[in-house]
Amino acid sequence: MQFPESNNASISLRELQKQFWSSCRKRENGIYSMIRSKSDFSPEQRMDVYRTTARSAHVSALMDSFPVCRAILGDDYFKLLAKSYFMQTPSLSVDMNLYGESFPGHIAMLIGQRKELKELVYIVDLARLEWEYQKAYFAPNAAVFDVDRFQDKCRRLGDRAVLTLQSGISCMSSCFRVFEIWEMHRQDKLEQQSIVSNSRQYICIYNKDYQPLVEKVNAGVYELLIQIQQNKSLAEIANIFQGRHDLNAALTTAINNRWITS
Amino acid sequence: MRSFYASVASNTLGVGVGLRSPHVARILKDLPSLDWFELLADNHIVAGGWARQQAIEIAQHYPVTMHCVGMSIGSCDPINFDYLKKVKQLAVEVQTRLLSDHLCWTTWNSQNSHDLLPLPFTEEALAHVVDRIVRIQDYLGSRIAIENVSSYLTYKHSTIEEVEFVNSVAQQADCLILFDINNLYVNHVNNGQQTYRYLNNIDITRVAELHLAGFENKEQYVLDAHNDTVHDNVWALYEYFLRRKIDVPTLIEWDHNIPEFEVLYAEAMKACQIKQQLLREREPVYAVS
Repeated sequence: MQFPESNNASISLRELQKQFWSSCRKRENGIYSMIRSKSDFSPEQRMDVYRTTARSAHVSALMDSFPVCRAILGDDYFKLLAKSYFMQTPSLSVDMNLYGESFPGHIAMLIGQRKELKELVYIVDLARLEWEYQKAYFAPNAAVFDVDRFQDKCRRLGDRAVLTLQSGISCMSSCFRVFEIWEMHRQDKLEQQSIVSNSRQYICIYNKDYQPLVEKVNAGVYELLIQIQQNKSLAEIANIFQGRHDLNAALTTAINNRWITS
Repeated sequence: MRSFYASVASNTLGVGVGLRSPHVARILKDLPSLDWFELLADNHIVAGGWARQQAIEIAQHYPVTMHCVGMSIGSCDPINFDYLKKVKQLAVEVQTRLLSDHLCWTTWNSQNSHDLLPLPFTEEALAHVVDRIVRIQDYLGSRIAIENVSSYLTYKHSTIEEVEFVNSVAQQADCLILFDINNLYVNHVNNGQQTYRYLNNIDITRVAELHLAGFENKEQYVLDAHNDTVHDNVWALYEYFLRRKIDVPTLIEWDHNIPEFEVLYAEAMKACQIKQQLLREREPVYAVS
């Protein structure tokens, strides 16, 4: 390699990175004139290696995070959706595991545009479940209910006390049987079942002993977890529950499962 | 610079392999005879969960080093101190022997490519990278090692030879070098990098770790895919380097199409054998009278 061979030495590092990025994301060609080219490997082909590598890394991350959606849609179609998401949604986190938070929303948007997705409308809720499962995988291990902290909180704040949930927990509701669909695919048991649930389905996704878990819950527990997530006080929750759900039963379930930590 | 980690990698570490999640249960069960493991730090810096726990449990049985991809050392974006804080916490927790990242850039305008993008080798880039490494090391409280990256292009306006650039960065920032010999070979095929000139000129006093991996031949170029055994040509370069400096920890990397642990282990043993053979050659031969 011979040096120097500089014919456009004035380009700054910042400008070069800007041009490189534009070429990667938007196929702009300003960078080509800055790239050395020997043999039959052109600057455009060299940049294609970076474009392909970046896209593959993002698509692979989505394939890992949404395995059941991928199984239902098939690898090729899933990759098509993943590529369109990648083109619209750059990663904003250094942690690749956090890439894909808005992928369920992207699918929801495409359902309105692509007729082949219309019969798979439940896939949006399934994708939401898979994303929460992924989050629970990386969540800290849940602590047991801290009675002392809870009592202290109640002493200080009375019925204005706000309960604390474990950090990895999330809950969702769906009018589809997403829990059963998710479980069947995970266990490779593909039975023909109705996808529409007779009643609304409530699901809790959480972390226990370093493992993410998914569980169906009743409407009362779901309501309790949602209200705590919205920072409602015990008094406010009691008010909401009046005559609708059994608050004591919901609290007992949530505390025993370590969903409430204090 | 003082280090609060266990110690900087030295000849006490021999040959290790990169820890990959499919192997963790097996490793913790059988505790194979290996000198150390390298953690891909970004996979373990999350606050909790099994990924974090894996790192902690492995570190209870083996010395570990930490290899990062998120510092974006050459980027024009601000340094990501939130990321460094997490790296530092994990480094203390697992008592890492060495902390490393790549001599490249990965982010633009807060967007992450999750790829190792090539820097131009210019005086401006040199000053920029040195300044950032100094600030990163100040924050971490320890020296880091910077790795030469594989690349698929070079820039016309580069004015410094790559090996000279790497040496200058290490000397001016007072950091260490993680020398990836597979990357050197990949760059030789893709960009005409002169391998033996590089091997002869790299500052061996700062080389703290060696990386070996496999690549994928794409006909027009070779892809640094880390999905195969180490190529014979790379083993030859490794042996050549060891003749210059033998007491450097060596690591086998494998990131895609991850095979059974035995395959990685066999590669590590091959590196051990090469080291041992060279050590035997160095032993003095005494005449018997």
